[in-house]
Amino acid sequence: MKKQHSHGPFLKLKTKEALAGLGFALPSLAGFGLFFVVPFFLSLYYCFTEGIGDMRFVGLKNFQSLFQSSSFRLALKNTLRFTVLSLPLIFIVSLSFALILNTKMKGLPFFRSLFILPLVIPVASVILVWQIVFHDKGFLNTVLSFWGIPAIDWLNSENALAILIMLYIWKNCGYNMILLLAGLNNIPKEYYESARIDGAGSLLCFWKITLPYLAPSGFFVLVISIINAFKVFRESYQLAGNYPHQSIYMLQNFMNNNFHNLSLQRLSTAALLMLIIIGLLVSFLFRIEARMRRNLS
Amino acid sequence: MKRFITLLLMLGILLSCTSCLSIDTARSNSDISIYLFEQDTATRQSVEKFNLGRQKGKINIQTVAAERIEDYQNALLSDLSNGKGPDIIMLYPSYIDSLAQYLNLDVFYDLNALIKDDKAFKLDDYADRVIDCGVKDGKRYLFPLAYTVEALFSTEEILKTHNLSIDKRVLSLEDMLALSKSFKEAQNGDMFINALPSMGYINHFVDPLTQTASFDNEEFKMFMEQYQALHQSVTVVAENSWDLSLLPQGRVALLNLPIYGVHSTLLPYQLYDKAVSDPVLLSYSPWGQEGNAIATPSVLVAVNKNCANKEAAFEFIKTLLSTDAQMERGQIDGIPVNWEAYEEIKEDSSNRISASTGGIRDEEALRRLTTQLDEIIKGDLICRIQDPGVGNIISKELMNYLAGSKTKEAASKDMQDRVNSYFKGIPSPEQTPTPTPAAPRNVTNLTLHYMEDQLFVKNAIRYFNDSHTDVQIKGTMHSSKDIENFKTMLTTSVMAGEGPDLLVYRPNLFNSLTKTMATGAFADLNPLIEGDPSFDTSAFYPEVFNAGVFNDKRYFIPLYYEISTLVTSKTSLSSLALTLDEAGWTMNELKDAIHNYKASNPSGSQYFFDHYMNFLSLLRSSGLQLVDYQNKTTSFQSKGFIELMVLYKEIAPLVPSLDTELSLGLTPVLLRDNVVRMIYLDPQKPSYLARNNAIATSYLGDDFVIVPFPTYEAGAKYPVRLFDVVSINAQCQDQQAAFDFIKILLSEEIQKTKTSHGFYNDTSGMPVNRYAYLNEIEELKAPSNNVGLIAVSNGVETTSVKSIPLTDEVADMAMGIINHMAPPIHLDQEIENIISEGLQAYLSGKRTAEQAAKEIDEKVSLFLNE
Amino acid sequence: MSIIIKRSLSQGIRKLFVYTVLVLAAILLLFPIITMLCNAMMESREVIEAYAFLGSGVKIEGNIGLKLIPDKVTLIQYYNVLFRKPTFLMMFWNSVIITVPIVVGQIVVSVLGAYAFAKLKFPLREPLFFTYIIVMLMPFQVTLVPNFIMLRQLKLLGSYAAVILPGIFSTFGVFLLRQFMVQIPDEYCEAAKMDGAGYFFTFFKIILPQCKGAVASLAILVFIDNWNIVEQPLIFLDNASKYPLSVFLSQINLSELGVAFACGVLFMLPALLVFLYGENYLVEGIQHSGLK
Repeated sequence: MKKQHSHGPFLKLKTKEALAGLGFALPSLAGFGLFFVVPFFLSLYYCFTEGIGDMRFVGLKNFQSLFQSSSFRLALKNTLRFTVLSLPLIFIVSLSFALILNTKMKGLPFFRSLFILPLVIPVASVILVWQIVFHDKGFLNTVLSFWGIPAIDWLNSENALAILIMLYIWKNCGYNMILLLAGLNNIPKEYYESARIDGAGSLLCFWKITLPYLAPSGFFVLVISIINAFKVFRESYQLAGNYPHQSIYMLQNFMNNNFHNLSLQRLSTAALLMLIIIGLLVSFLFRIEARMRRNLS
Repeated sequence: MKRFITLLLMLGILLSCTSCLSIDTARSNSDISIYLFEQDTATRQSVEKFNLGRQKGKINIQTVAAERIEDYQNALLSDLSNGKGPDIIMLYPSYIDSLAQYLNLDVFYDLNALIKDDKAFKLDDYADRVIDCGVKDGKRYLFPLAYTVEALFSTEEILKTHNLSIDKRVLSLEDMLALSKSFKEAQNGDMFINALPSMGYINHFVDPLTQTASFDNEEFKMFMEQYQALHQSVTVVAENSWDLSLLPQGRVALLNLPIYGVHSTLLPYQLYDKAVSDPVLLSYSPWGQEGNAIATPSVLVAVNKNCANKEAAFEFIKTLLSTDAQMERGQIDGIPVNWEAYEEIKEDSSNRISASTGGIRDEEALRRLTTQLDEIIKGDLICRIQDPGVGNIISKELMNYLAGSKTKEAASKDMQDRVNSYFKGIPSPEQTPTPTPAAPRNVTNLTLHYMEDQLFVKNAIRYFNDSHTDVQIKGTMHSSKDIENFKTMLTTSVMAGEGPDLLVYRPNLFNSLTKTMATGAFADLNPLIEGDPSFDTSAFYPEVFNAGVFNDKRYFIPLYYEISTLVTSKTSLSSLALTLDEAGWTMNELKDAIHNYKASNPSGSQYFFDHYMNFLSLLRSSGLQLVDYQNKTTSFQSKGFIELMVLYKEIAPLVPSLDTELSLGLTPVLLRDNVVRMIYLDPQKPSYLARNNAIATSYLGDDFVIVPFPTYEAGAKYPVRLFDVVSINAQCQDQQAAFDFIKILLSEEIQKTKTSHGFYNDTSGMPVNRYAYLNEIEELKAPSNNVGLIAVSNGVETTSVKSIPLTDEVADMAMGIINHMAPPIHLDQEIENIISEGLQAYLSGKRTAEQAAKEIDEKVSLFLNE
Repeated sequence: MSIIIKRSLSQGIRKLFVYTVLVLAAILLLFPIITMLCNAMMESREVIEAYAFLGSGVKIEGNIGLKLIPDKVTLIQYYNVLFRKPTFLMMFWNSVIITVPIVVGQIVVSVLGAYAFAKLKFPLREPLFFTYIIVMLMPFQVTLVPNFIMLRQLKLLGSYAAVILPGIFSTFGVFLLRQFMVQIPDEYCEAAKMDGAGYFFTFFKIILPQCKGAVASLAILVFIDNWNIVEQPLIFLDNASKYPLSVFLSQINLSELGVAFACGVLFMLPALLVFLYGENYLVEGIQHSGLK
């Protein structure tokens, strides 16, 4: 996509801009290289080795045994399932709340602050409270018992996945909502006004104006949601243990357990695979965002 | 507005934090040093508390190993005389040869200067009679931190019989003499006191601090005469001289026992169940100072004159003298000088003793003892720092006189001369020339990490470092609070290619021992063993020793192990229709026994096991092989496992909780009274075997028997359980030296209960070295090794039984079990966790046995396939 | 006439609907915080009794539920935490020492980098940005060991820098700000360039002021994220006295239930305050709109 100009002044401009760009980005690039790229290549190297005492190069053996591992396959399946279910859900929820809070009703700023609060609570306290709520003799079951419904085993049954998704949405929708709000506010009001003058209904406004202009923030929110989906597993371990019910045994469990069992290579291989999958997903979203942005300008 | 408020709040929080941290003002900058004994935990804790949050003016500790008293003294003296030496000097009078040497060095700083400047420091808070013991010519050179008092135990009856007032707290030498004469006449008793006090008497005549002595006079000679008369009334008794029961038996009038702290007044009384109902605590006074009891400081602190940061040093002394620190010290070193701490301990001691006696004992009498101690301490005390150098001279000459080899005059004159020259003519320790630094040797340092209850490691490290010059081992200990952090650090550093060279640990340190070993992070020890012809592997039980072999590679060597055993009574066995012969018993037999037991005790108020019984122990000993690591298969849905779970569900109500058991009484008593039928004991290492033998014999006589846990198959051998094991990191640079260390760990010297120096190799497992086990068992059969009493306690109640030699019968019982041992069945910690969770679900009724087993199976499969 | 009524009626219904939804959401979201606050005001004994059922092996009959109303309102838990455990304040300070430099550092590095990625064209810009995102997605277990090796080589292991430096260069900030900067119409930059402004001037005077909201969001999010990190300090710091509060809190297990809630509240406070403080900037940024 780069246009190769060979005219004198233009070239100078482009080079100058490039230099300036690199200059501004230098601190970030340097740190990134040192603390992220190098470790990444190191762990890439691990994917092709075996053993700790004396590391041997074994080629693709790790990948082979990974796919043969039933635990890995289960984890992969569960993770994909979780992601496919929760990402759209949280996006819709956050967007809905963002739209609601974007209007000029009384008291809304107060609610805005409220939504951020789940993020602020320390993880350990969240665990404690959720344990209390979902325990066999905890809050929810007590409430149910008032209505004569027998206690449900929340975390050790098929319900576990639903609970995890709820936990995830509860924690992160505020975060996403704020970002979407910021994004929504960046859409100039004039567009809506002119659309309304042209007689467009609110639904049409939404499709043609809101969504396209929301693309950069939306993309950001989606990517962050993926990251947060992985972070929520910190809570998941503590709630359900290292080996939880079959339906919530995810890639993060797989990787964490391998870490504690010193299976470095297994861990790195799984991570690489996961990265590839996410990479594909993100690049797909990236391309859509770029296209939507181009359509606007 | 809101912004302003939140900004204020944030600043407020930040400010409060910083203010709490600025304990130390900007004045003091340089760090100060202190030499400490390894086992001086009280001072160490104070140092750590002092250093917390302090960036400058910290205290650096130089540690001296436990039995290195010589080194401590030499280092201290020579460093001090060279103008170096620690800034804070901790002085233990019982550990030094001569106080005069230190005084002559003139290195102590006058603390009064620092006390004067500090308005908050009040001398009134401390035992006034004691704290001045370090004051010479108005200058306070030493400050005592704790002191001991010589105490005499007697009974009111004895005093009354021999015409002594029970209200008189301090006996003079005349009183003692009168008592001894009266006792000899009346009782024809063989002993009136178990050990004659000596040094305290001389306090009138010599003061080590001011370095004055006057023996060559009439007064002293009169003392010598009286002392001789006293001496003749004492016979040395071979028996256990802690035995308070000798008092009411009329065999002794006074028992001389040192008071190491408030609790030790009550300790002899506590150990003896109602032996004495009217105890009396007395002390004795030095010659010529009636009514004054004798106190001796047990630990003192001083500040080096050359210290660069005296303010910080004084701050530290104040920390040492704070109530909390003094309360700690009051448990170990003696009576604390801090009055508040003393009062707190006094209060606490009586409460603690009252609680532990469970209301059975005479609380009144205990309170009286405490009051009497109080009277002694708050009365007139004479406190002098002991100088062992002077003490030696005096006792030597006194002995000469008592034995008749010197006359009174000769002895006293010699004493005077020698003490005088001791005070004056002690050659100041040779200015040891600072040794020319030797050409730096290349010393390889090996790092070793171990857990806090593995004392044997410390001993082994010392042996190793002493015998190797070019390799030294540096040990780091981790406490159980630290374990989680340590595990994370360990896994990360090992994966990064680092980690400690040697690791002594329990198999449950790693979540999965098998997976960790499979990574090859630890070295294969087979080449080292094969390459060492002098290493005789036949000295070790092969079932245990070879447990560290996976896929023909030996990744660790077990040091200690356990075979789970139960103690029960023969009558119980017969009433349960159980015959336990050489072949042991099976799970089915246990099941039948339980059924029979329940049938005959429908009320359910009886228990079968004690609270230590648990499912995992039964599982480990059953011999069931449930996990195949090689093929990654599991068999939890097998008949054997499910039956075991069902059996345990029946057993569970018959196992009391800890609280219930405590409320019922001491465990051996419960066994005797058939409240429980079988007790699950700690590993039967030799000292525990002897101990348990004494306890069981005392309560059950011949009726008790030691049996193994049941196995699943009839006639199967008993799987052991590994305790401490040792591994070498594959990255270790000097594996040969590391292996030498392992050999030391496996040697009889370390595998025994005590080393030949008398230091405990404290560990709870049975030694893998068969000679260590067998030799110690033989030793324990000898009567001379079994004196004294054994305390039996469950934390709430305490009583005691007499120690007896180990019998052949019991030793054979244990040997029979050992001869039938089988290799351990490895269950990774992670797997055990999964099993426990599954069991919990089943026991609480959330799942049926089959469902629970299926879930366990699935989860363990997940684990194996990761 | 009726149209007006109908419209105001539908407006009214809509308002009601919106408020109901919001209140319900608020209860759901605030629920744990309220629990924490209430429980922090109880005596330790009460707390332990109420939640004893969480311990395994404890046999409790019947259901217990949640205890919200203390039998006796007391602040003793806070007292215990703040004064009886002197390490709390020290660890709090450690948390501050770690988090604040990370926040400040990351903001500085990120605004510079984001500007470059958003507005300045340089070779490999797009692929590089893509890798920024990808690398961010790696879970920490994977990078832990390589980071450990890296830091050991740089001789940073054991000091605070081992935690702070990787935190500063996290790519999250660049990502967030770039997305915002991209939304700023290019016309601004063109206009400035016409007037002869250099890149730095454009950056400082034109782009930056428009990003206030985004920078505020970034600060808040980075603060909250790093206030809560546990594994990195645990592994990269060598001394327990350097651990931040988050590590301590993660190790509070059921044995310390008595003070767990108070600890949580106190720990939450700074993050909350930071949020409240920055919220106005956030709102300003959000409400700022239009091409001016």
